[in-house]
Amino acid sequence: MKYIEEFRNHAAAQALVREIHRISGGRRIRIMEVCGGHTMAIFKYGLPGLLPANIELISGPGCPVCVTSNSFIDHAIELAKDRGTLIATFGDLIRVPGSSSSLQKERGEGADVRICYSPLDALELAKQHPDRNVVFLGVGFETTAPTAAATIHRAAEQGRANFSMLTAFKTMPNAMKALLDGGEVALDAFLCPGHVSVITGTGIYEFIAREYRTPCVVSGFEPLDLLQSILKIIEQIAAGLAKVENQYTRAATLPGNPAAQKLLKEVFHESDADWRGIGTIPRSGLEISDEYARFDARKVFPVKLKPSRENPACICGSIMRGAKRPLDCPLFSKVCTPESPKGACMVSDEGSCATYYKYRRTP
Amino acid sequence: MKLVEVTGTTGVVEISGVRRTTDLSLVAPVEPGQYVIVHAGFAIAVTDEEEARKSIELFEEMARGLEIEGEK
Amino acid sequence: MSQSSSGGGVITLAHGNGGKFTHELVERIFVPRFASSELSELADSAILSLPETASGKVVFTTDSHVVTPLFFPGGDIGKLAVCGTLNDLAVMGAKPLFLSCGWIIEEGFDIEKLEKIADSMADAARAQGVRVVTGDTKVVERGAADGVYLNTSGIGVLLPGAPLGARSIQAGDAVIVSGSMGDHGIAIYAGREGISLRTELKSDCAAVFPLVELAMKICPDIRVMRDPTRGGLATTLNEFVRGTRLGIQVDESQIPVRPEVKGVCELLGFDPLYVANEGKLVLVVPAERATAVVSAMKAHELGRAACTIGHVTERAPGRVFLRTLVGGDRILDMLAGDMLPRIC
Repeated sequence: MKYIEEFRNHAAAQALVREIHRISGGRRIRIMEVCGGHTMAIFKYGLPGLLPANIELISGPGCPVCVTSNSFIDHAIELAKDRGTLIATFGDLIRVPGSSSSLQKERGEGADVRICYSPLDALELAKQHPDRNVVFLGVGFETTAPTAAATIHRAAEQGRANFSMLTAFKTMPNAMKALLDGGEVALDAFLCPGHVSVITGTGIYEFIAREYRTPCVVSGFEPLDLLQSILKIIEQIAAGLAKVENQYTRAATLPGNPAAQKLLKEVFHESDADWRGIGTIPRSGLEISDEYARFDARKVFPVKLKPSRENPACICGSIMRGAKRPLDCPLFSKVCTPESPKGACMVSDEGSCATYYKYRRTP
Repeated sequence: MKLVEVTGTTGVVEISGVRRTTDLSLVAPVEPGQYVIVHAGFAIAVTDEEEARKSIELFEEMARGLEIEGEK
Repeated sequence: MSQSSSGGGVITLAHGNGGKFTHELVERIFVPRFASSELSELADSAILSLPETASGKVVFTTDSHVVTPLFFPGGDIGKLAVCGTLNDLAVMGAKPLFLSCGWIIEEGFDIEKLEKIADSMADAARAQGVRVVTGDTKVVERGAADGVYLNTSGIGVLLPGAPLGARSIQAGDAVIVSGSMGDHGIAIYAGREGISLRTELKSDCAAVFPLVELAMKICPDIRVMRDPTRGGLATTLNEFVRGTRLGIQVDESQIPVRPEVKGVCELLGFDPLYVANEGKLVLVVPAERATAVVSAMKAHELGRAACTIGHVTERAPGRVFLRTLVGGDRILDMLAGDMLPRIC
């Protein structure tokens, strides 16, 4: 697999690891990643075990499923209960527990819930089933939002009347700012999301380096990308620097993807957003703009929801803010497991707790 | 993934003999033979092969350096 | 029957009522295909003679098959059922001899499809010198059986040198696989989802007794063997050591995975180590036998990609872990829940 397998080379990885050990020094260095894909890759390749003990990789709120509020799932479930509705969703959402049920459970009770690889699949379903209302559940960050925007744009072109989206898209930079402002966790650097940066451009992190004197390295997803990015962070810290560096030069650029950015501006507008476990972060979300309101399931199918409930013992919030680790949670692996998740972090494959449970109960 | 077919804003990408349809509207215009990054059914970027080659060469050099060290 | 066996037609509830229609169905479709004297008797049970064996032990297994789709690249539910049951016997170190098959057919099912499935079963059994000696047929209402449900039970005799089982595993033992991982599950998935492949990916569905025979000839003290079906290689390896004071370490770079399987997994976020196989063997053998066992299997067409992938260790009791491509370690747990394609 070209441009993939070369970035998994064993000898090069060993060389990078050696170099990281050589210059990391002794003081504690805390690096936060804010991308579900990074969380998975780090654990999939066993990277934490290769790093010196003084380097700590912390998982931040980079899992889009994990930061989606209970009430979003509750809303989707309410819509699913109407048998004239077809819910189309990414696989990631199907097991997420809402206040009292999940889409998977509802499917078992007869709701029509289908898994899609792309929002375009959902639009196709709307075309194939003109007698049903197709609602696509749009969660994700700046990587997925443009694909949803493009789909809504296409739905408008097609005049598709039975298609809408229930969205909860979020954006990274102000969330990263909120974490730094919160001061709960002393962070030395950020590993910045690779594909978000492909869309937005790598410049969006400049303010973090400048105002918070925190090094930021945009990283790809292969093990050599991550190790090289960690090395670049250590090198910056050793030299007393704080800048934005792009390690993912084969895909991410300073300006980003102009076509995607244009679509985002046209179909969405910036809004405040509710991050599960963190609270409301100003200007960290995307909502469908008025011009496309007929594709906004919140407006087309308003629903009265009971107040959503979270498990009081669940500390997912602290975990997503990087303040606590999965092992700190009293429910972790005893009551809360991937088979019966009690909170967001365990539900998604990319959640801190799920990844920790699967990959890290170490040999 | 390698773009093997292009028809307007739709294309077919291939990886290890697996082919999938992909929407190209976020990266058009593109040509077969180019490599793209794919997410949720859309190509979101064209791989900069020059940069990829530079990275790969650097990693190969590191790997060689490690071998030489090993031989000492 | 609604129509002659070569003319098509569909199964009706009458075919399952035990009377004239059932008899016609059995006599025209199943008996000639399975061609066993016991079956032709159409008695309530089959009377069997078992060959003399040193062990004096009979091995017995049963499996129900509810797979969809019924027909897939590389096989169908019939071939799957027969090979699956034969393999369950083979991995115990038993020579498979006799099979039963119980059909639960949905009203309205195409008779031509039924004949195809029966053909596959007959072919698979005949190729291994195994006879279908008894069976049962029921028909259920439309909507109740996804086309066809199949149960196959198998009888074999335990050969000398049969594995003692997972409890005989020792630290230092080698872990061997007979070939590439993930072919069956990914072939089914790709077929179902319409994922197009340049070269069609086929299920690896096959009877593995020939490989077992070769391995046992070379190695009289195989610890344990299993065919890594649902849950994949990772689940099977966990079954070997769960709850014991031993662990298993496998090397990602040694595990054979076909490029197309890698491609689909890369695209959809699947892990081939958790994907079902239907024609493969995992063995744990004493370390000093590993090379010979691998060579012996490689000589057979089913075992061309056989290799040692890891070893049993005292580190990490009860656990399986993977040495990844870049040298880091990660836990390889059992499969929990369904694998779902990951997007976000």
